[in-house]
Amino acid sequence: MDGFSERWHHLARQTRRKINCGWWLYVCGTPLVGGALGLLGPALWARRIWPVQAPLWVAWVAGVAGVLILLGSWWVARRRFVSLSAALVRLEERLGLHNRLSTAAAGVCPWPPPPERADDGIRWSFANTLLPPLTAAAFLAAALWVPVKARMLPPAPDEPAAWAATEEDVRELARQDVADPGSLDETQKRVAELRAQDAGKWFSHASLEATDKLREAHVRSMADLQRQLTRAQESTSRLAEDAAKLPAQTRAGLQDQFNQAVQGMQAGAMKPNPELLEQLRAIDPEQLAQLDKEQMRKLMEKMKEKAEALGKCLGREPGEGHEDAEGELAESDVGDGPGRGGVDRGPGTSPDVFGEQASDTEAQKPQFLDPGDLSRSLPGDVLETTNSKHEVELTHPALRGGGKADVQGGGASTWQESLHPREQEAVKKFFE
Amino acid sequence: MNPPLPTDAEISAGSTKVRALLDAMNEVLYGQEELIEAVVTGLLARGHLLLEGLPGLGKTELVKGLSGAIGLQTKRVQFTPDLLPGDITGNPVLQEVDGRRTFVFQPGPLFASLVLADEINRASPKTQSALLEAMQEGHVTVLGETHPLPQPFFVLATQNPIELEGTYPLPEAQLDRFLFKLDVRRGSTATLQKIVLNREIGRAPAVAQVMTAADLTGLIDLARRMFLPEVVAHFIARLVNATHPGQSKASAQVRYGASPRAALALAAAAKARALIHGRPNASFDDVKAVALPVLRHRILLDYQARVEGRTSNDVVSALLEEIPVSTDALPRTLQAAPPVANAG
Repeated sequence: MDGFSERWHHLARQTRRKINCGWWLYVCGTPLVGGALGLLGPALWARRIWPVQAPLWVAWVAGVAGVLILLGSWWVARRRFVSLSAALVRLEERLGLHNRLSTAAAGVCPWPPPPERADDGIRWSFANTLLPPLTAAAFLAAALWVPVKARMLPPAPDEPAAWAATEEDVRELARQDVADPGSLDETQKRVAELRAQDAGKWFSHASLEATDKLREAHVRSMADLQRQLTRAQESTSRLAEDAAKLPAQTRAGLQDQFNQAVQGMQAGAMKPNPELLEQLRAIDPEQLAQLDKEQMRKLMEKMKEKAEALGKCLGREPGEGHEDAEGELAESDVGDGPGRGGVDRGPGTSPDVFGEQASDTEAQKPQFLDPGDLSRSLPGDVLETTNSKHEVELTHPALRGGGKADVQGGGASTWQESLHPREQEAVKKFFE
Repeated sequence: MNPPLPTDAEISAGSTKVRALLDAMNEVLYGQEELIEAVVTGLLARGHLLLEGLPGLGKTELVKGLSGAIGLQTKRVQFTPDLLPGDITGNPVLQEVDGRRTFVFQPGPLFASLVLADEINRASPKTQSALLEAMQEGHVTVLGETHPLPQPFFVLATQNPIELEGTYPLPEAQLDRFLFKLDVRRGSTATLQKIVLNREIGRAPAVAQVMTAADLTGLIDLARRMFLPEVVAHFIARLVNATHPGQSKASAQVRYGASPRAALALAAAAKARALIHGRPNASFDDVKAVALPVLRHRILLDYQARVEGRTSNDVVSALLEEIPVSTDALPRTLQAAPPVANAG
């Protein structure tokens, strides 16, 4: 009998589950369709603005919203959920048991033998069940995959080429393990600071100035390091191979060269690879001939590699013009004089004349002006210029009452009567 | 305290006795199996019955057959307009007893287990009231003295639906005292043929007694103790509530609905029917089977319904279609399969 009860309860639970699930799907149908429809417009708009990131965001939002809708629908639908006893009533009504199951559940009579397959008379309406989620899925698919023309954004402004060139150098040097990472990081940070500005200010005078300085310093430090490495490599090579054969003075010079190169590397803005530097510092140039040949050979190869890498960044082979770093800079397009603007900056000062500019010497030569028809001259017109002595009016027109000038006076009286003695001295000194 | 539930053995034995009674009655009245079962159900539910039918359909024969099969004391009263209340309840008669003149109550025809009140609608309202009061109270009071009626006590009243002139239709409040109102209809041609071949005018058919009054009393008690599941009681309550105007679509033209007495009648009748069918409990099907005879005379329709020719039978049938046995509706994502024929 317990088996009959278990079996009937199992069948009732199945029926209950079916009905409750049906209610849940019914309640969540409309919110699913409404939510998907509401998401469609914003999703298409987002894909137009952010064509790459938007699909993932839309999928996330759809997923979260879907979960919330399902949970909320379950909460609302549970008011309509049926109980186990109601499921038993459905079963006994369908099977024509005359409420025998309800009576057995009340303990009044034994449970009747259950059939092998009990039909509760409830069928899924596939159209009403599947239509809402399929519609929601269709809207979601449209939101994700309907082709949308991305908004034509204004092209990203080109940044100054010096930044990319500097960063490329830094990457190459880091990859080749040429320089100290701290030095490279500092350069990288400076470039990042310049890039972090508003794009409209990238080509401002201050920004371009800073870019030029940074580039200049970077190139200079690379060239300096290359030079030091080459000198160290050369001196090491000669000392290691021919130290005994070299004259003492030459040997001392090479040892000094080596020491200076190492010191230069230590003090430079761009320091070499710390491991390499440490190896070089550990070397005593006077004892080079006694050191292990194989180790020295490897060390020199390493120095040569690093120098070659630096040369590649600088755009030429190592050992060539390494004493002419100033010339390398001078040959570059970077300049700061009038007319000496570079590729990045354009022309320096703008020309204020068109055509050939007149030479300065010609402007100082006096030129004869042809007066032309003098009958048409107006008061104040310059008719001719001469180079002669001034006629000085010696008489002083003394002033009388009423403001009338007395023409008996002249320039001399002005000199004597009007000018202060100190003023007289100053004028005299001027004409001397 | 609820009475103890009957055992399976009791139910089985009781069902057997009732089946024997039904079989005996079917030999008395041909082609009226449903009517006979309804009458027996009413008896087991301890209710009074109102039979409405044309003359000559066997209403009196039914009562006589019932009386013979159960061995109940039966009396018949022909209601006429000049019938007085005392004619049915009994009258005090002045008699000399022990040298003294005193009134001695002479019981009337009401003092029987089974009373056939023929054409009750022909008697005056005063006489009707006297009968209906006795049906309700179970005793008769005359000159201040109460005389209990025999137990069990049943009244099977009849009324003629075609003779309306000169009649006094029972008021609704008194109709409510009848458990069932049964329509007696004429049988089929085959039934009529059988009647012609086996019956004669003036000769009552022989009826074998299949049980005693004590057996009937036992069966009535058994029916009372039958189990009524809560879901069935809930269905009865919803059904009766739906008879009131505004509570359902079917009751749109109802003026007054059924009373709580109707709900009790439904429960009692459903239990009795379950006993007849040998089941341990009343079911939805039992309620639906007894709904029409229980409710048809307790629903008062408005004038519009009468104009349209709508009857209380139509209302009750519509109610049974409209009110589901289960209150749990199905969502649109599910649908109910067509009912299986011969289920159970």
